[in-house]
Amino acid sequence: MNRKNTNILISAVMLFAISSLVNSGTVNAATKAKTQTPQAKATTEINSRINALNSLLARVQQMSKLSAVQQTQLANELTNDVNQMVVLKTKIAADTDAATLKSDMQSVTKAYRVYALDIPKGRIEAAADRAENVVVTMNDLSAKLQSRIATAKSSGTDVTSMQTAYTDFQAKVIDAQKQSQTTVSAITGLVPDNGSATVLQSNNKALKAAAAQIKTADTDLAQARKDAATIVSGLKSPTATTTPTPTPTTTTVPKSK
Amino acid sequence: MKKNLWISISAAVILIAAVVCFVYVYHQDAISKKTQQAQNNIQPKPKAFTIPSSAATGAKDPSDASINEDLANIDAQMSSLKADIANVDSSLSSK
Repeated sequence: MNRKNTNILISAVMLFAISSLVNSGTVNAATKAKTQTPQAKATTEINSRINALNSLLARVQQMSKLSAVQQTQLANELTNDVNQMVVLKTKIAADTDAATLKSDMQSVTKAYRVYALDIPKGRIEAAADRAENVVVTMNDLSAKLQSRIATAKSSGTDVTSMQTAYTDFQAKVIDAQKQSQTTVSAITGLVPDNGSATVLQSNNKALKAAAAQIKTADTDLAQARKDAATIVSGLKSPTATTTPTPTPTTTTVPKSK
Repeated sequence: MKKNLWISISAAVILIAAVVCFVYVYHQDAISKKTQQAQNNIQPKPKAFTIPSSAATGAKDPSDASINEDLANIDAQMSSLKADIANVDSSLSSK
């Protein structure tokens, strides 16, 4: 066997050894997941909720259109949830009695409605706040477009299509604002069901209706954006106003007898 | 042995080239600064003139640039709104 072959053989043996190590790691991880203790499972569930709450809390700090009261209320609710989850995590980790552990684990999903109420509610309010931000920018744009349409009209441009688009633009922006404001007021007062099926049902209904309203606001804003594009396009390529040309009148001269 | 020698020579060449480039760039920058300084000494500096922005004056500037800026802002915000709505859908479906 020459030196080249020896090198190839050594490389192959090393490669096999490395792949074996990697495989054994994967198998170990899979086995570990299967044999995860109830405490570890609960910790994973709680950590995922804490992460989602913290992410939403960061988003709430960026909100600018919710009232200070609403913003503080939402932030307090989320902070309270995080604190409760931390306490529950510590309790579960220390549980030794099987019945207590089972009850605590169930409370992650049943007693604390993080995923069922708080996260969706916060996400909807965040979307409503964003929609209101778009409305503010669109209102700024509205004044500018109106001014430009007036200037174009006074210089003899046919502004009929621009005016139609502008009227629709305004209507859509007003509706978007109404939808986003109604959304927030409809879900601000929602409270955890604490096991009540009736409250759970009404919460779900309110959240779904609010989500639908935010989507309507989004559709309105998308249409308003299209209207703005129509106006801008009209301003870029103006067409002159057509003045009707008078039709010549023919006078018949009576024949002289 | 021979291979190592070549690696060392290559590394040395790359190092020398990097030093030469650095010195050249530094030298050019110094020349440019000196030239600028000399020009500033010769010509009186024009007084800075800034057009007050619409945000500063409170007036709505209806120029093309201002309208385009608003449209760009709206597009960016609407894109974020789409992401927010996707988050809402995801949070409602994963309850």
